[in-house]
Amino acid sequence: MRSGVLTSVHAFATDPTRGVFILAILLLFIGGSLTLFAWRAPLLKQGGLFAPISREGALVLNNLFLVSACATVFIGTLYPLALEALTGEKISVGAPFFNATFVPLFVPLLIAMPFGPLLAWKRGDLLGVAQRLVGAAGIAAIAVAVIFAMEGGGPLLVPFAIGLALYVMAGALTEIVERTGLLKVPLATAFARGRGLPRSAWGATFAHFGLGITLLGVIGETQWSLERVAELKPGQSISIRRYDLHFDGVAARQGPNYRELAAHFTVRRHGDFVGVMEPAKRSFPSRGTATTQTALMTRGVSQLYLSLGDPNPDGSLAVRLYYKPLVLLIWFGAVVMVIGGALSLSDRRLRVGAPKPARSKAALSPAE
Amino acid sequence: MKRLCLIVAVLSLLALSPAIAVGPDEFLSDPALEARARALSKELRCMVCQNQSIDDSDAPLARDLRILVRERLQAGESDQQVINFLVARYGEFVLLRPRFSWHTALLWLGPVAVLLIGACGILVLARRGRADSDRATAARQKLTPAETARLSEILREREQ
Repeated sequence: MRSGVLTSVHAFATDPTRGVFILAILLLFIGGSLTLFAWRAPLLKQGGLFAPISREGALVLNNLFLVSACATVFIGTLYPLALEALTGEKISVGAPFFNATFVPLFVPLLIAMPFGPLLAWKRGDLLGVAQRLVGAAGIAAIAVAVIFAMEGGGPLLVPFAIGLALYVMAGALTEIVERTGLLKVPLATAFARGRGLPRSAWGATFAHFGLGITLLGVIGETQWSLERVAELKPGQSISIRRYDLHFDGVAARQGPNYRELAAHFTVRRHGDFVGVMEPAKRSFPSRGTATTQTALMTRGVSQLYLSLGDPNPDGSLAVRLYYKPLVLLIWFGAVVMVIGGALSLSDRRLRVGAPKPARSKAALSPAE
Repeated sequence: MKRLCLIVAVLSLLALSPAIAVGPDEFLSDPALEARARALSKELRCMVCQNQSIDDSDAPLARDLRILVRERLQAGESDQQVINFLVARYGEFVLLRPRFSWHTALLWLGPVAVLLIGACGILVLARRGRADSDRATAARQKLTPAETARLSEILREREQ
């Protein structure tokens, strides 16, 4: 899976099953897109003209930012190699570098994103679109204020990030709300109009809305995650957010090819029983390796992770507990984006062959 | 991208289930100092498992470094002093976020450069495209010699 020339920023595939799966994904996407390009490249031709402020212009801007982000990954990955080859100097480029460079690239892109679908093709009206997005910006502003008050001050990053996510989501809904007249006409009329809208419009809305959902998940995970590390003896408890985890004890079990030491935790929320979590340490005697089985509990769109460290001589066990709020939204957002993509691919324009204008003209001409 | 980093972080958490990295015995009693120590650890590369920060790694060396960072912080050193000490010991390689200097200028400015060059390229192409189309329109409005000849012929026929 990996050559070892580059040290991966992330540890992906330590076992061949996952490695083959990731390889298959890479093959499908990279190979697929290159094949498509090779097949259809001759059909590429210069499109019509458009003003810089237009939907085409917005697509170009979008591509510009995404290509820059792609180039950042490329530079960040290969720069240390090149520097070492040229000067012998060794530097590291890790997650902090990518966080520092990606955020400034994505914030302007996300601010610009809701403008795209609202701009007309060929020549758009920026001021008009900005006026139509006032509602979305207002929702975002309210969210910033509410979150700021809830957090009791603190860093401004969190309220603004949440505001940005809500602005993206509300901005995505703006077009649908306007075109169906949802807030002005009776619900049934709006529903009928919504059914009449082209699927591509729904696709764009779903895809952009999904990105907003994912963004919320990212913010929750990075900014609101909690972590507790403790050494516990049976009978002791550890609490995180509103959850109390009571350590009931450990049990040794025999698996098909491993022995495991599983710890039993009872999870309560405000004193009410919620479930049990059983993190374990497994040892595989035949290979002399040990693995840690993290216990995972899903609560709504948030998750609790619990993993074990090594037991101490005094009978206590090191445990690490994480609370990851909104983390599942990252995946739900992706699912919504996929639905958006599927909807726009099933648009009438792509399902039903458009009548060829040349033929209809030829059919009409004898009647003159 | 932050999202990608994080998805992968979550994935690796689920998939690899790392053993305990920062041990409870290492924590400092002062929460402010501990928070600084955690933030610093996330910026420092583990020399053993090179794709992890010392905060994530459970290699013995990473543990030693975490303890070292905490000792230095407790001795009253600033974040910058701790980083300087580690760089003096292990070189720039230990920093996951390289410092800005002449040899990392291309790295830090590269993304900005790509964005600006791309934007300029698009503007130039758009302007050229418009100029081309203007020229094409102008050319279309001007008559070709054959058309001029045909036109004068028609006019002559009319006069007769």
